Amino acid sequence: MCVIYAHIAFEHFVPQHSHNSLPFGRPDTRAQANEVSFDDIFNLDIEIEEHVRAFNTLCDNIVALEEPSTQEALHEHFLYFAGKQAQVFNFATSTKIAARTWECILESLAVVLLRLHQVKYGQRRGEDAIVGGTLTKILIVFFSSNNPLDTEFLSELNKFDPTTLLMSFIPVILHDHGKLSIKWSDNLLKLLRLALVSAWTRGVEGLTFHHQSLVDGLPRNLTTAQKVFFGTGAVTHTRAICPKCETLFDGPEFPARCNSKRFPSSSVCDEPLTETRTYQHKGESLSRSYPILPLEEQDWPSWKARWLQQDGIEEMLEASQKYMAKQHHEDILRDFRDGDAVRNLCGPDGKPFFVSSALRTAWTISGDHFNPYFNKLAGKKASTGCYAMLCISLPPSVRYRPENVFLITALPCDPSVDNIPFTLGPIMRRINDQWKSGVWIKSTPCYPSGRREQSIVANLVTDMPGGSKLCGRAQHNHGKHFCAMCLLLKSNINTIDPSCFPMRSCLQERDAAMRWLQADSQKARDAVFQETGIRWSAFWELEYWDPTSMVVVDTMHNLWLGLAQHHCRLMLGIDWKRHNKFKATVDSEHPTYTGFVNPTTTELDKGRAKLQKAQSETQLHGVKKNVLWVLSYEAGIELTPVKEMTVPTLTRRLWVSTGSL
Amino acid sequence: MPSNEVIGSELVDLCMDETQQRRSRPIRDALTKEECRFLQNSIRTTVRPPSHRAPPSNLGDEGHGKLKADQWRSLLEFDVPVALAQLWSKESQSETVAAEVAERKEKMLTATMYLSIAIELGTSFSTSRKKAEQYTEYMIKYLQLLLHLYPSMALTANQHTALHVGPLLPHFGPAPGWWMFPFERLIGALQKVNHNYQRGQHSFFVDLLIKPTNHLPKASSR
Amino acid sequence: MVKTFANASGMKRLLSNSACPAVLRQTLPIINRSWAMDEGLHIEEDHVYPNIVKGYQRLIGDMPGLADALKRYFSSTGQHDHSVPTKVWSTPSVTIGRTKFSPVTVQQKESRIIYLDHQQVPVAGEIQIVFKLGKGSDTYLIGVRRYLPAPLDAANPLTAFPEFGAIVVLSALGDLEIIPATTSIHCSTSLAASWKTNTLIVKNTSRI
Repeated sequence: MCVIYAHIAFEHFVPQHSHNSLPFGRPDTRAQANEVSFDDIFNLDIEIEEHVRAFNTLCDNIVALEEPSTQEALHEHFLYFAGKQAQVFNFATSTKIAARTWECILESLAVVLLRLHQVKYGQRRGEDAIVGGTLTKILIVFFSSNNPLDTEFLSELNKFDPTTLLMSFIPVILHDHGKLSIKWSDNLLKLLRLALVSAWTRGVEGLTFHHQSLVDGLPRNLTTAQKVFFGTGAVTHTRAICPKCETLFDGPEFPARCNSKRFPSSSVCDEPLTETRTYQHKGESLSRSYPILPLEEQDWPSWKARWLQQDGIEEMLEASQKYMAKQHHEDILRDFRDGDAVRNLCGPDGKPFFVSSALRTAWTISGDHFNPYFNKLAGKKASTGCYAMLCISLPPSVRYRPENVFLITALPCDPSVDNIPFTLGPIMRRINDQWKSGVWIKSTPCYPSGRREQSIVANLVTDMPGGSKLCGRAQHNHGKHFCAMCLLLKSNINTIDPSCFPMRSCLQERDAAMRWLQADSQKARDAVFQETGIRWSAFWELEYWDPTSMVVVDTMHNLWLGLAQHHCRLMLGIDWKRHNKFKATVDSEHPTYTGFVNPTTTELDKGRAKLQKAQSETQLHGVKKNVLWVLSYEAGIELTPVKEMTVPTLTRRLWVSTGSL
Repeated sequence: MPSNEVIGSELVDLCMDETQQRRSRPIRDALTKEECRFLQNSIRTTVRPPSHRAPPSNLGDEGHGKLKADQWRSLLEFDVPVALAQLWSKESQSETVAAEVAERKEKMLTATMYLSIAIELGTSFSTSRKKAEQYTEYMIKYLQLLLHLYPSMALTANQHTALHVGPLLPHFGPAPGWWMFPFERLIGALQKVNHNYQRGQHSFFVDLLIKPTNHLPKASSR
Repeated sequence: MVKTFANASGMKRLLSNSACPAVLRQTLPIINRSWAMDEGLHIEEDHVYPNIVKGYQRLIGDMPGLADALKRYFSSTGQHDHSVPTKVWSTPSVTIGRTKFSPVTVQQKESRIIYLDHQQVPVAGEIQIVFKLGKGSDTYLIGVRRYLPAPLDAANPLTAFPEFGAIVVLSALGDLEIIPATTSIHCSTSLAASWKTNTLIVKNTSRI
């Protein structure tokens, strides 16, 4: 076991800051640590050996564990060994000396620390399973300093008593996967403890010593239980979004006020970015600053390192990679991997992406906004934007499982079209790094000594409005360019020969986007948008991004919710009464009655009568908007732009043009 | 059974006089009340496997709520074409119906069939270049027929975008590989995942979402 | 929210690992069902899942026509020396790919089947029995009665659109015949609506 610990300590993929572009993706700390010589290691080894001997003598001769002197001595040993472990670990990851040298030292340290805890928290001799009392404490201590591989973590878990393990596991599962609140997860732990006691009680004798210690060792609350299983290793970073200009700030330190400038000539945003909160800790009142709009972003390289350790994933990905590197000769396409899109992807060297000795995977990215409260909070429109990635290289049967879905982040706000490139920009840059240099995984099931992995985003899957916003294109209500896929003008919308569609060109789109970005005022930006229908998009940070071949039309929304619904409702008249966006599209010279249902004839008659009898504008008050609309049309009043046609405006115009007659 | 009315009675309310007919939306090819009942009956009596959710059998009446995407799809996939084929085919229309009206209705039936076939081709689980071409062909036929029946109609953005789906099929593979269903499911799952909003406490997450909406009343502890 | 999801999917990853303690792994089917993110909307896998529950023996004479149908089946598949047994092991359903099929007496909705016959023509029928020849056998057989073909009706507009995929049949059933429960005959359930009197319109629901 302890040999494996040593192996884990530095052979595993190391923390998040390592994915800058160094040759093997190793952390930059190399340059900073002082170089350690072999003599230093030798002396360190001897020093530790002496302490270990002293510790073992102490343990063998313990009379009373509770005596203050014993406790003090144990504590001193603990401080020494834990400190040495941290120091050695630091050396192991930062010096040029080979790993093997450090293995033995770390091995002995691990043994010692384990024994220390066993002594401190009691272990009956001869018991096979470590007593429940040590369940949380051993794991928390050991795994907080290492980053264990899944298999090692699980083999540790295997040593514990199965019943207490399951009892600790259940509230964690219900909290993480289900909707159980923290308070009730704590209650559940208490209830499970009662259940255990009741199950193990044998008549008047009560519980055996073994069972009593197992029950005592159960975690007391959800947080402790979660720590036991925290070998899940989810690494997230906290970022901050400015509430006003919606720019994303990478951590870990945030300025107190937003210092971003939209334009070179504009002033600094200066919106408060963080707030300080005081909290009590061990009797003291401390304060910390928290971002006002925080954002949790999951770290993709660490996620990938753990993801690849799953059984069979790596083989599947390699098979897909080989498959996508070849041409697809069959007529029939059954999956994304059979299409042309993946075969046109290129690597950073310009060659086909999937032809490489590194592991290369294709992903699809998606973003959508939703209300996390199901609209329960009346009137409050909270919006969360969820951005996730699916791995196309996996077969469909496995692709959609939650352990294979990478959730990038959940934005706490819905940025406006002008701000969204600056909110997502930093995130996209990190995703681009994964294509350019990828991540060096120090150990995978197929390659125990490590391999490089690079990922590319093959396409963007969203519904049309969301997708247009993310790509910086105009939505269907733009005056000229209403289509996200081509440059057809709105006046030619009835063209149905696809060969007549003027298609977009990637270069032109990028040029227009750059013009938008480099414009020096919001007005200039709006002018560019009016003319070209393009804004800058965060996706241009991906160097391989080609919106003409990477953006999809979601068939679910388009064909089923769009065409099928339109045909049934408007063409066939099924359910038309409930269709509140009833458009008068039959005769195009007539205005569109957006947002309300056509008035009935009785209502119209009443409205006309009122108009005839009215002596002043005020007598027209109370007439409904749809009636006003029809009456205005009859009177020949210009009825666009639709947005300005509020009830007062309609009433005034109607009165002015007809009422005075 | 097809009735003698040209326009259903509830639509008469909508378009009384000539001028009003021009301005509002005369759905001349709409289903009459009786035809609607026939469709509802057909939906109710169709035997479906459990995996296929039926559209509401009171379709068109009050109270059935919004339909989901797969319900619209199953309407177009089977229920509506089969019901219309019994109502609006040339042979099944009664002689008292004006020839022009009968012809329009038959053309509408053809349009429905075209749309149904196009949608199936576009969303099938396997595709090929031929299938993608067939999809575009049927979609063009459908839109052409619609424009023929309503010459002054302007196509919607969705209908135009549907013509772009054809080239995407050989490019990305069959539609189920790149539609929104998995992400919609993920969002559904996320909505159920615990996000520690505790009733009665002004939690951190509430601050996260409510504070930015400064113009709305602040979330008070309940 | 992100942290919880990240932990949750990390937990699932650990549970899927074969090194996970067995006591925790047993929670995996329960959790999978609630996630249900990989259900439906999938390309069919090439599997026939045996249904283990509630099979029982039936005398072959209980179902009229079953013995003759089996005889015909054996001779058509070249198993001339296979004798017709006296008992078969009947099950309430069988799952081919991702679709469940059941006899009409068990679940009417899952009993309408469309399959390819010897001439590779799609045929609609109603399942009468699902059975195995022996309790330990792996191959499932389905006893199905075809709907009789309807006379060609030029007046039916659905026949003018063969791509629509509708099959017009009479609601009367033919003789019992046996088909093997494999993916090679492209079994699928169907939607069935009645068309005028005694005629049914049947359409394939498989995800092809």
